[in-house]
Amino acid sequence: MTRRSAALAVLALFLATSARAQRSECDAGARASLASFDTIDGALQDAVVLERHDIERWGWARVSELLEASTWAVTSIDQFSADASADGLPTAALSAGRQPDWLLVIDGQPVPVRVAGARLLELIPVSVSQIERVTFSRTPTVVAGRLATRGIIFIQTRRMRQPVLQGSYVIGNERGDPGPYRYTALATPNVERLGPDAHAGVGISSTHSDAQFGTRYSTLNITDEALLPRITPAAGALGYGFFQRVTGFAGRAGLTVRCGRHDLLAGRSSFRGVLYQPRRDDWTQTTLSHTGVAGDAPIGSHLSARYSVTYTRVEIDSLPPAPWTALPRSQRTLSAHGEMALHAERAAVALSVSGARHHLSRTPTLERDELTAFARATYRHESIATEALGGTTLAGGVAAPQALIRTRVALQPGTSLALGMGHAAHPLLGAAWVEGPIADASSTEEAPPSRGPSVSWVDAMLLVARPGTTLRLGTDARRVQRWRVRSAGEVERSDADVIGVHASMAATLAPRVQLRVDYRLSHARAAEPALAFRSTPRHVGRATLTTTEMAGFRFSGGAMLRSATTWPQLRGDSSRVDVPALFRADATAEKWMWNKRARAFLAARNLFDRIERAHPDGAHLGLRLHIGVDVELRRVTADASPHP
Amino acid sequence: MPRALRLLLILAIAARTAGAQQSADSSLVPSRDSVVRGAAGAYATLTIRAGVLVNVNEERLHEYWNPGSGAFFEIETPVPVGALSIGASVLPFRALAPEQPDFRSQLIELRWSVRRSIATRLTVRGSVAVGSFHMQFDDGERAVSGLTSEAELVAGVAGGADLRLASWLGVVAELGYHRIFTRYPIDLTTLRAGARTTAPTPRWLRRVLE
Repeated sequence: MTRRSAALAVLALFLATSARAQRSECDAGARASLASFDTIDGALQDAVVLERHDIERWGWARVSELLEASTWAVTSIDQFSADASADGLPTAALSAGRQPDWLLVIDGQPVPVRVAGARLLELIPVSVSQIERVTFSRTPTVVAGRLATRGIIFIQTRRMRQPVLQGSYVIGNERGDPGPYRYTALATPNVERLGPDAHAGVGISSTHSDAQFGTRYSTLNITDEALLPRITPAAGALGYGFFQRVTGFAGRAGLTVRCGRHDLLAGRSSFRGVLYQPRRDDWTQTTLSHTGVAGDAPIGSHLSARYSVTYTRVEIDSLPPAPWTALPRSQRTLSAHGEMALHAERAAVALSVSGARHHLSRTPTLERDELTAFARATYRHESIATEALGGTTLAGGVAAPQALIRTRVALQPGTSLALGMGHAAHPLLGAAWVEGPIADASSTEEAPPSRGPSVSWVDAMLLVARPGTTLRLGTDARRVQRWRVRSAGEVERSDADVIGVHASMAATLAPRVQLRVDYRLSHARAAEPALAFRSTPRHVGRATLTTTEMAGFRFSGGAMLRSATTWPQLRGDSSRVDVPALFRADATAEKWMWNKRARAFLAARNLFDRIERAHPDGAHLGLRLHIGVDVELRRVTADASPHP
Repeated sequence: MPRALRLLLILAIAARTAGAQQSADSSLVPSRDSVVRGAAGAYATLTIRAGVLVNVNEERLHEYWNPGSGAFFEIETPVPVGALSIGASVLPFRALAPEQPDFRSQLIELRWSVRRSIATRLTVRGSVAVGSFHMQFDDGERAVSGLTSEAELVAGVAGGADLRLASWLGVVAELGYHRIFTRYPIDLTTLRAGARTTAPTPRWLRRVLE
């Protein structure tokens, strides 16, 4: 698979450079037909959008770190890889397999990053340096032929405008080493060094095409006192040390033909480290290989098409001599979707069919084929726009309905109100699977619940835009029906409700100073077990004060708030464990050099050295400092810099 | 100390040579006052400081180690507001008991400073710094977990004076405070004394910095 991915990446580069597509002017009709695919939201209502310059601003070098920009509930044991909940329902212990969940999409291609119940974001086939924009949203939307009900992370990779050679290197250090006192009675354990995180890449472009290829490396030396007792026996015996690392490479090639856009993405990434589980941690090497193509194209002035075909394979190897657990050795997903849209001046109708085949080794009962079909209609007229979707997912002879209706009304210039509601169910074939890393991956059981998990929701959003200021106020309510394996043969239905209120504001305080505030209050509850539903923070907020570039410098300050959580005890004897609230302050300074070809930055995180823990059994990170350098070797042109 | 002075002399000559090569472009050569005040154009000059330093405070660390005298080196350029510098200093510590090894510390820091002229030849300077404090232990058989070196975050402030002797040369003295963020923080107050030389930034370097 490795050679195949590499060959595809090389082929993509070759195609991109050699393509000499026929120049074709995109007429207004063609553009309109492509636009008919988009939902009426345009930009997703509650979206937190991270642009390239934002990612650089905070010095983020790993994909998990990007979650800091969202107001999602983030869970992490080692502070290296992370999982997240978009709507505030707990990520741990209470979820059944294949429940409707948030999706990760890269350039229109869904990438399943769930491994044994956890989402290993570090395994996505692109590195942070290859990303142009990330959109986090909880608004249910349609993507890649699916109704994404509980959120989406939409990643757009960078599109090269000219040939470029890239390189970046980031390293950090956390306070708390023993220093010379380790030779005294005051000796304390060593504290991890963060990173290095490195990326190298190349990009090329022509009139109708562009391509990029990159490789990356990230590592973490685990020395946290909360983790050492868990991993020391295994690590010591195996002689692997305490380093866990991510390596990977990825290539993307894009081609623009007759107003249509087609992207080929191929990549492979590997995580070598600890897969944390409640009772016994496993040292594993997990590898994700992804190959896919996605695109859209107008067909005449009233018809257009969109498609994607992807193949993703995840393999887990337990590092010897650790005994093999019940984790699947591999999971393979082949998915395809096609969509056609017919549009008139004010209305559009789209028909979509998507299929997926999932294969998991060692757990054949979880294999399934799915077929989703839906029709979507949109109507836009002056101050009102409406969208309705209806369809079903078929699997194993079980049909699960899906429906969505949404209306947006412009109340006055700059002010609009959006209302939406929907229901989506999902087939569940003969088995349920407890979340692996947090609960117990060996709890895969055959159990025939009569229905699959489902989500019902209603949401409302008020958008007020004034010169220099944008304010979004929203509320949403969801009921998620889940199936949970309690023991062999014992499966119970576990419904959960979550009510959320969210607000965001972006304002220009001075000509070069911007303020942004994002906040979400979520209240999740369920009849049983109630304690787990307090494991996600009720309040999540982030405020940033940033400057645009001034004489080659840019400065940023941020504050993050996460309220305290209470978890059911996963290890030990007590019944519960509290994770304290987090108030974290960050600051960064950047300096561009050599006509914007190079950038150096200094990022201080957790300036007040508060307790920062995202899991009761997890690592604590204190004050830390990151320093990094990016270099982009390219021609210098007037519009070469993407930095505001 | 003689080695530090020799180094400073070499650097001063090198800086003067670089400045002479660029004298054709008079706009790159700042006036005497602007050099001292740092009010010249951003990145227009390079100021090099070097000298000796001693640790003058006493705290928990000194119950186990005695500091020796060290040396510092710093290179600075003006930025639109104040000046930025990168500095390095070394300071050895000798153990007071055989249970502890000697160690050498190296401080690498990024410093931002502002200055103000208070007399014709005298300028005062204040700065804040962040960096990394590296420790290399001569621990031999005492090696703990195979580690013979460590690095820890450090932050500091400093204040000092600069007495101008010539347009390109001066002497500096500075009192600095650094906190090293080990589990049991280490506070070091140091007194620095040395010389300063200033020269126009080489054109190629200025292009890089801009």
